[in-house]
Amino acid sequence: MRGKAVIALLVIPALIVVAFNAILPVLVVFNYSFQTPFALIVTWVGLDNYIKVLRDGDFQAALVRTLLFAAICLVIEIPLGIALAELSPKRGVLGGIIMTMLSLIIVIPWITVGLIWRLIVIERGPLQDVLGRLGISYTITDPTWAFWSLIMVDVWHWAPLVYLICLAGIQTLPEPLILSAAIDGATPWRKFRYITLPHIKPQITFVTLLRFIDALKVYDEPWVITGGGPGKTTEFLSIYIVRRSIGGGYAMGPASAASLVYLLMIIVLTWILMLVLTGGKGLLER
Amino acid sequence: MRLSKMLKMIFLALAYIFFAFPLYWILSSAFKPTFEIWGQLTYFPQKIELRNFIKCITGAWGEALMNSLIICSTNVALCLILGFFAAYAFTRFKFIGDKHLYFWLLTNRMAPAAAFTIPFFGIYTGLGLWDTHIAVILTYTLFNLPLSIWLLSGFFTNIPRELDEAAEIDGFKLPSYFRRVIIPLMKPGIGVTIFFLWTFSWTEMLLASVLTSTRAKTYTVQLMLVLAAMGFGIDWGAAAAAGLISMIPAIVAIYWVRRYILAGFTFGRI
Repeated sequence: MRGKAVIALLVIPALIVVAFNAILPVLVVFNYSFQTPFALIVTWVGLDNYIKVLRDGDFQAALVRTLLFAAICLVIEIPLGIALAELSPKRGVLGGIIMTMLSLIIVIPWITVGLIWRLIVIERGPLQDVLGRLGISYTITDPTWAFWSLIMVDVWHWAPLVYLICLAGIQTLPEPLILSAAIDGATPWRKFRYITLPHIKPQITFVTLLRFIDALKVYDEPWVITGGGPGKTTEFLSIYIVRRSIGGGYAMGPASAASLVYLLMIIVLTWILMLVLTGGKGLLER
Repeated sequence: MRLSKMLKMIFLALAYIFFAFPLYWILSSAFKPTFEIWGQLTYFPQKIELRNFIKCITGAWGEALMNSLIICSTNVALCLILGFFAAYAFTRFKFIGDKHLYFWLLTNRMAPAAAFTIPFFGIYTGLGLWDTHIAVILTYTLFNLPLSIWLLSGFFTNIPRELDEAAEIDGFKLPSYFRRVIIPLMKPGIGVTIFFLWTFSWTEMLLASVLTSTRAKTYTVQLMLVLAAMGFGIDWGAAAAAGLISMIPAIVAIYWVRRYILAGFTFGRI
């Protein structure tokens, strides 16, 4: 096999680049988390940073809020996206317009999504106006409204991704299966429940994992729309870390500890969710 | 039956309004002068103005736009080339630890940017590369290279392995085999991959905002800086126009790969 050298030549450059960006930073932040990094005199502080962070009420609140946010987003986005994929027209001009519109939403820069929605939820903005006419008093300066507004924004941004991935799955449904269901006189609901849903299960698994990971990472939209406020009532872990460190707090040690806790949390939770969704088999089993 | 059809129509109509309205809103806001956005709520711009757009492609905005274009295109080229070779190797050859390596590469998509801000800041300041294009380009490979490998290997599995053997018998050398056989076959896959790579590097803001200040500032960071003025003195009209401009590459890209988007999601081994 002349292969060995060729394989190495093909794979190693990619591995080096990713390792430099993935392993090195984790080692660096691990190192920082036991020190007072970027200080004039760097001292070793042991587990102090971790104790400080884990006892910080803001950190605990941000942690719970991030998990809650991800859970609610999943519960709304996944069914909504599947419903859109199943019910939307798939052919014709209207089908094309819908697909283009929803794909466009996915690729808008996240900060622009934040900007768009800030212009909508703003005081005296259109959302307040419309809800006001329905007799609902909406204001972004109320913590509960602020939190649910951010969920609405996330649903707007990412339900289309669920739609697109599920649509891709639906379009690979084998023709004979659809025909035989039609001949047997299956109702749309039964056809969806017993043919479509099992067929697109891999797509649903994949997009659920992807959405879960990304919802835990949320940063740009809340940063633009609420800035973590009012007060700290919409502060997520990502915003907490940036605020405590480069964003102005300069508590680099505790923020490094928080970063590692955050990273570990995402990996562990994603791993668990993956095992649950695939029935313990993992993704790479073919 | 009738009722269920009506419920379906109502659901779809409400959903489409929900998804379409914000797009209309950014479009109309971009043509409004700032005082109109701040003042009485109007659902149509009172007077169409183009001044916002001129503001957003000149001066600091123009420089940021250039930086973004340089950073995105270099990053996409880098990730595409490295990812292409690696994906080929992963799908064609068995080697020790291949599955583990592949999975490890993919897990890097999980990395939350916020948790990496501090070490990246430390590393690139230490290397003297802070506020350079190179720093941002390299950083973006963290999430883009795994994505590139993953998408491309999905497309590679669709090319029959017998083709490799036939080419070897015919005496093709690897470089010319790539150029004359593999690349033409991989065109849709390459298109979809470029689309996603470009999207993710174009839209990133958090890491760029930590790694740059003036010389390598990207368009999203410039938008962030304008919005950071929080409440007072934000030029909303210009921000809205900049937001609209930031969507243009996406619109172009979608038009370009519209036929392959769905294919990308199914071939990509999802």
